Formats: sequence, structure tokens, C-alpha cells
Amino acid sequence: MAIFTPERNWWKPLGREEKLWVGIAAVWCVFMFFMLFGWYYLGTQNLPTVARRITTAQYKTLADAFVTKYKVGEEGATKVPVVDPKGDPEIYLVAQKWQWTPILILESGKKYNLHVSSIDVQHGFSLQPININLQILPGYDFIVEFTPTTKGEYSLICNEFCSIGHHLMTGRITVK
Amino acid sequence: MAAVATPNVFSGSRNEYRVCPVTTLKVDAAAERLIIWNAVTAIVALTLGGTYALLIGLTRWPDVHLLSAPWFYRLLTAHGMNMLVFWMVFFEAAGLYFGACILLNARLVGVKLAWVAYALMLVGAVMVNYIILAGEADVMFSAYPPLEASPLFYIGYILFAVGAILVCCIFIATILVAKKERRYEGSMPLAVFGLLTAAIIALFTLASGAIALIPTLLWRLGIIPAMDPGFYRVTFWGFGHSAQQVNLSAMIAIWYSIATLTVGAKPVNEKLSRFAFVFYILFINLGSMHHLLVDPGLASVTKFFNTSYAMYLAVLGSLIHAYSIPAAIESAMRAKGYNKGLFGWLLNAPWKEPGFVSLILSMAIFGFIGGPTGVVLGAGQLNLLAHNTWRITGHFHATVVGGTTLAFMGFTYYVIPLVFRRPLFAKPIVIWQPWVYGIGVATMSIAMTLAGTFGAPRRHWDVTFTNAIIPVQLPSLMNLFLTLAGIGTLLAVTGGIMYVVICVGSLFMPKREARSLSPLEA
Amino acid sequence: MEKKHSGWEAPGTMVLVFLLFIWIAFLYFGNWVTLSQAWGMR
Repeated sequence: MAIFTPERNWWKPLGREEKLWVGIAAVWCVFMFFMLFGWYYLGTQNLPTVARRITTAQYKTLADAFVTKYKVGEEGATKVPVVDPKGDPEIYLVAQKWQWTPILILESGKKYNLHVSSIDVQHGFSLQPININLQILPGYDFIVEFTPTTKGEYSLICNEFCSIGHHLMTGRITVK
Repeated sequence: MAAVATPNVFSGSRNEYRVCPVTTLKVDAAAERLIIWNAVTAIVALTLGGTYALLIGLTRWPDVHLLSAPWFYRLLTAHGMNMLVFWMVFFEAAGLYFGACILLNARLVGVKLAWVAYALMLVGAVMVNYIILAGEADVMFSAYPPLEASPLFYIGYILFAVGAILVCCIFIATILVAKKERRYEGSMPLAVFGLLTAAIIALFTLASGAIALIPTLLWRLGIIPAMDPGFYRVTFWGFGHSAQQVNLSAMIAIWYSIATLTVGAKPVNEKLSRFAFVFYILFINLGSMHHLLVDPGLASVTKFFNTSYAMYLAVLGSLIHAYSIPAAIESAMRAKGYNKGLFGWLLNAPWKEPGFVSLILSMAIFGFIGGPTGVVLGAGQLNLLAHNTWRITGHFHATVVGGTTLAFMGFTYYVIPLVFRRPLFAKPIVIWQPWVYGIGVATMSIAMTLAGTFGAPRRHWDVTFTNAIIPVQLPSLMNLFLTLAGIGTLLAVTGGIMYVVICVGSLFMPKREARSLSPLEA
Repeated sequence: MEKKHSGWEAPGTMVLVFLLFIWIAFLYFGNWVTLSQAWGMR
């Protein structure tokens, strides 16, 4: 009688079924806690752990220098730079309204430190079709260590609302 | 059963009371007026939010693609605010006054303050709606800086929150005074305990919201130079997700209440159910960290600890309720003699009662779709696959819409005859309303989840990327899922319209005392 | 009370919550299997 005051002595031991279910649920919770370490060591993919503070101006300077150094072409009406870092593991990606810059050409099996940051509002790094998603904030240089394992073209979209042209924001990473 | 206080207990009090002929509960007239005003305002917010839901739902359906991009984002912001904040909190305010005053046979403490709280919430809600529709706050419910909204948006948000804090304080004060004046015997009913849980969580949740929103307002007013987006996200989600635990606790209190009202269910173990509520208070705030798993700037240890230890213990609370409520219904039905087989009790349950249908659908949608799809997001590796995709939207529509909203709707059918004292309007459609709404929301949520699993982003006007400089092609199945979500939206909106028609129609029915607990016979 | 269920207060509910449990486990492990095939981000 959940809407009326309970009987005076409601502090009673659990019945057999309650004990069984609470026991299973509690064991599961403990198991899932230890599985956090399990996921980490068994998986081939984990959350990036490195980030540092940086001003948007500093980040733009670093990314512009990277693009100038390794630019191999341009694409589209707004001439989005295409960059092949040719073995340099430190690579930069800029999120801004409403474009991912530059288009990156990477080598499969090679280890990279991908720097991602925004120079205006928050953005969502969303790599398709493998569906890897990260939150990108201005003022934080997010450093993703990864080794692309499969060749092909990967699309980048933005999945954090970044004002009115949000749906126009795309980019590309090519793995060769 | 009901402890009916003797009439002279109330002598000398300025409050007026009536005795409900069906439940024999004493009803404080001042509380009753507040319940009615808050509930009606909640339904106005639901109507606004539902109208926006239809328009944005038809926009995300690629073959319809109704709104322009600016209006899509604008109405999406307004939809989030009206549904997730205004509808929920106004209804919960009504629920808190109901729990503290009517279920405890008590008098409402601070009636004037309660009206001040109502006024603050109303002014806040009107301001926010106006500013959004005026195009001054296209920032979504989360309003992440450095995205800029008009300062009036934050002021409206904060005014509403101050009103909500007052409601929680009045609720707690009313319980304390009721205890002191011995308005009820022994412990408070489980439903009130659940509402108290909701109020306690609401207080620290709103405090966290204030820590996020007040500096943001100061930044927008030019008083402080910048608002750190990482800091905002930590404190905002201490509000944004914990607030859903307020809705959850209120919903579970209502689940227990409807189970009692419809089949006379008695919690299998009071102690266990109460512990489950306490788990929410203790752990959910830390568990909110799962919103930040793929954020830069937070240490792995922080992310791991908060989403594992803390979240699993809150989940344990939910697993307990997931057993405790159906078990209470099953025991009550078996005690009535429906003992055939494993599920004879369920088949013979009162499926003609709209409240019961709402309860079962709400529990099924929350329990099998909304809850589990959310729990797995606490694992970092899986969060990486889901963050900000439409999968998130699918998850929380199955919790807060298919679960909480549907439960609130079911409860309304008892509140109208018993508190508003008017018979239900359009009785023949009442029984269909939970079905239409529930199936619509479930279809929509599943479709959103699937679309998100295949990469569809949330809060997005055009997943075909037609005008993007670099073309993007999402998998071909996408169109199917998006269409299915559109159809689900249409069904859910139909159910929503039925609900609003029933509620508004009932307001114009001739006033009379309820004759039965069952809303269709009252 | 029917003989089959003697001693069990709510056997039907027990079945339902076990289904729920299996479903949650499936969501965790099923998702995770998909995940381990994606990019090598360590």
C-alpha cells in the first residue's frame, strides 16, 4: 500500500526471492566494476587520455604551420587543404564553424598522435562509418593516440550543435 | 490502511479541508489549488513541447524535411526546455504538494511562498520560451558556452530553478511539520519517501545547475571575461543528468502509487524499496560523469570511478525497483486468486484501467529500452561509439518520455476525478491513449537508437549533408530508420493530442465528487 | 495457491527480471564485440 503509511514494523528481513534477485544484481554490479579493467586490457580501442590546455590562437598557429608544411592539394569550393604528413606522427585537426580542416591522408599501420581542438565553439568529432565520437572543446588540445588499421576513406561529421550551419560541417581522413 | 485523522486535529488552523469520499483522505484546499495550477501549467508546457516535437520530428524525416534549418534548431531548443524542464518540473511540483499534503493528511506550510515559487517558475518558463522563439537563444537545452544566448535566457532558466528550489523546501518543511503535528502515524508512505528522494536529489541538482549557469550569465553580461567550456560541462551535467534522476524517483513513486490504486499492490519489502531510493541519492550525482567520458581534460581515474562504482550502485537501486514493483503486482493478483501458470496474474490484470496500462507500458519501455540502453553508455569504450549520436536521443526518449511522461499521464487520470473533482472527458478514448502514446514513443526510440548506432548524429538538420563542401554518405539503411522514427513521432504526437484533449475537456466537465477510485467510473 | 508455484511469491516476475538481466548483458557484450573490430586506439 505504497500511498498509505506502512505497518509499524516494516523493517523486515528480505524474503528468499528478494535475496536471490538482490544477490544477483549486486554480484553483477561488482563484476561490471572489475570488467572496467577487463574492457581496457582486452579491447583494441580505448578512450584517449592525453589533453592539455592551449589558447585557441596558439592552437591555430600550430595547425596552420602543420598545414603549410605538408599541404599537397585543395578540395571543394572553399579550397579545404589536403595534407599528407609524410611520416610525421604529430598531426593536427581544427574544428571550426563549419568545417573540419585539413583533409588528412594517413598511412595504415603507422602510429599517430592526432591533435584535435576547436577554435570557436564546442564541436563533436564523429568519424564514420566506424562511428567513433569525441567531444571537442576550445581551449583543450585533445591528443588521440591511434594506429589506423583499415585502409579506406573515412568521413568526419560534427555531432555537437555548433550553431546554425552545424549540418554543413564535414571533413575526411583517408587511410592508404 | 489509511490513517484518518480526527477532525479536531485541524482546529485552530487557518487552512480549509475537505474529506475525499473515495479515499477518505483529507485534502488541504490551499494545496489543492496549487496542485491544480501547477498541473495545468505542466500540461500547457507539454502541449507546447509536443507541438515542437511534431515539427522537428517531421523535419528529421528526410522525405518530409519540413522546417528550415534555423527554425529546426530553434524549435529543438524550445522542445528540450519545455519537455525536459517545464513539463516535468511543473508536474513534479504538483506531485510534491500532493504527496506531502494529501497522502500525509497534512497542511501545506508556506502557502504564499508556494505561490511565489509558482510565479517564479511561470515567469522563467515564459521568458525562456519567448527568448528562444525570438531567435535569441539557438543554443539547445544544454547551452554549452562559448555558444551565446541572450542573457535573458539564462535569467529565465535561473528564475525557474529558484522557484523549483522553493517548491522542494516547502515540500520538506510540510513533511517536517506534519511529523511534528502527528498528522500521520509511523513512517511516511513509500510514495512520499520516493518523492522525498526526488526533492533531495533536486536540491543538489539545482545547486549544480546554479554553479554552471550563474557564471555563464555573468560571462554573457561581460562581468567575467570567459566561461571555461570544460568546467561548464562538469557542473551542467551534475544538473542535467541528475535532474533525470529526479524524474526517475518521481516516476517510481508514481509506479508504486498506481500499482496500489489499480490492483492494491503492497511493496514486497518496504525496507528494500526504501534502500533502493537511498542508492539514488547517494550515487547518481557522481554517475552523471558518464556524459563526460569522451571529453578532454578529465583524468581517466575520475571517469572510471564515477561511471563504475557510483553508477552501478545507482543501477542496483533501479534493478531492485524493477523486481519489487512487478512482484508487488503479481503477489496482489495471486492473492486475489489469479494463480494460473507463470503469467496468469498478468493476463487477468485490469487492462481496462488506463492507469494500469500506463504503468505496465511505462515500466516495459523504461525497463527494457530506456534503462539498459543508458546503462551500457557508462562503459567508456561503448560511450566512444555512442556519444552525441542519435542513440543518445533514443535512450532518453525511452526513459523520460516512454517512462516518466507516460507514468505521469497515467497518474493524471486519477488526479482529475479525485483532485480536480471532474469526471474524465471522452472516456472511450482514454483507454487507448497510453497504447498509442507508448507504442509511438517505443517505435521512435528504437528507430533513433538504430540510426545512431549507424552514425546518425543528434541535433542535426540534414543527415544527407546535401550542401556540405565535402560530401558524406551514411549507410543506406539510414533512411529506413529515419522514416521509422518519423512514423513513431506521428503516433506519439497523436497519443499526446489525445491526452491533452482528455485533460482540457475534463476541465470543462461539470464539477462533482468522485464516486470510485477507477477513473472510468468516477 | 497452485502446487507448481508453492513457496514462490512472484515466479512470473522472477522470469521477467532474468530476461532483463540477459538483455543488459547482451547489450554490453554485443556492443563490445562490435567495438573491438574498430580502429586501434590505445
